[in-house]
Amino acid sequence: MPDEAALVRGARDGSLDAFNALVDLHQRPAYNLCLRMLGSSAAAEDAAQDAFLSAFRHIGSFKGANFRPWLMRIAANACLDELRRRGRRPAVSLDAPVPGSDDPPDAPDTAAGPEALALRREQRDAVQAALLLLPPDQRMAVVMCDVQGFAYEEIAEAMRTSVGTVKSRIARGREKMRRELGPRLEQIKGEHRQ
Amino acid sequence: MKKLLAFGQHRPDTEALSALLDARLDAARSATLDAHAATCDACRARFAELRAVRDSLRAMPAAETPRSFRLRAADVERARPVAAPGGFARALPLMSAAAVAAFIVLIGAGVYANSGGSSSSRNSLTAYTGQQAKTEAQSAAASAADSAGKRIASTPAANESDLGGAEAPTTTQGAAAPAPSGSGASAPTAPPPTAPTTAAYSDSAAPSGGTHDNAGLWWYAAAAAGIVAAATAGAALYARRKRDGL
Repeated sequence: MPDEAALVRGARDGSLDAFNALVDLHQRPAYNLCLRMLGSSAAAEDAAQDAFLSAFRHIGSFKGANFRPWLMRIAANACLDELRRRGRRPAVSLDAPVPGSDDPPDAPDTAAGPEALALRREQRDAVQAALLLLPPDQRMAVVMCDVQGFAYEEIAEAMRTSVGTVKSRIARGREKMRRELGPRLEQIKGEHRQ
Repeated sequence: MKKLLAFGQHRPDTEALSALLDARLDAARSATLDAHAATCDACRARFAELRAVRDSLRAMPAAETPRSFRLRAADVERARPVAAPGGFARALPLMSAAAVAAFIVLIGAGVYANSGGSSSSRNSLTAYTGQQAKTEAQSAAASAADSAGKRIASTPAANESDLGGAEAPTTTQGAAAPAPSGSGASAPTAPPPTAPTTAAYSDSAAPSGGTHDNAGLWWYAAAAAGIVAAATAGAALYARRKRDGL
């Protein structure tokens, strides 16, 4: 495991290799944040690429101790730029993302039949669709906490806010999703009980 | 925890339940809430639903990246111009502040020149302001300055000087605005018809040199437009950098 602080120092000194080592370490969470924020793999790919370019351009101004929340913040900003661009597009767009349709395929599961897999897929689409209805700040907090498993403190650092605000955004986001998912929650509860 | 409603029921405290789900309540609060939920169907049901929401999100698979996001040398070359912080980017907020300060000084000078300053001091202020308007508007916001210049005076010479940069700005200004040396009466420039109010104010405020002061006011307007454009551009860039956390 490379020493991240040394890589950051190298990148700040202009080493592309050092920066690319940081990319290797963090590209998966950054891409997944973009994927869940935008709901489309094509848009997420563009946003993640923009985020890494932006991070490289501004690595000189990174003064903190933790690289990951700084990078996640840049990735979230790239997503917001993408959302703003979308907002300027016509309401009906041929390339509008279909929620959840870009999810990776399920791992082979011999126990689950095709019907169960279809149901799981449908649920996941509903969850992604409900996620996309949240305001961006709540969406970011919920994705980082529940999908990616970040601690409140790291989310607060990435969002440049207090832990209390993060707690509140997560609660409001979950509550909105609860209302949005409605009866589906019974299904989900049943599935997770099994 | 208990927010009392009209009929003796209470609305579950979602924020507390959500924090309890993440084990982010302190021990005392957590124990109180647990004890309450044991006897409260509404809170128990809400807690179970919030947990289902969280579980459904946790069940979302982490996708593999479709490709590597490693940067190539070509990407980096494109990114280079902003790679080094400092310099122009770092000076932007300062430039904005300077532009705003200059704007305030110019407004002050304009007020002074049109309300009781001596004729000679008015002339020199006019000359100074005209020149500064030209320089700042050109360097900071060419388009804004251009449109402002067109509003100031419709003589071809003035417009040409707006586009033409540094060549003989003083001479050209002399044609557009009254000559700084006080020969305003001999080179009158009619105020544009689009600003009757300002012209009227200027005339009544300084009846002895009305035409001269009118033109001076228009130079102030030009300077103000250029400076405001510069300040706005600087502030926008600064806000964007700040938003990026950089």
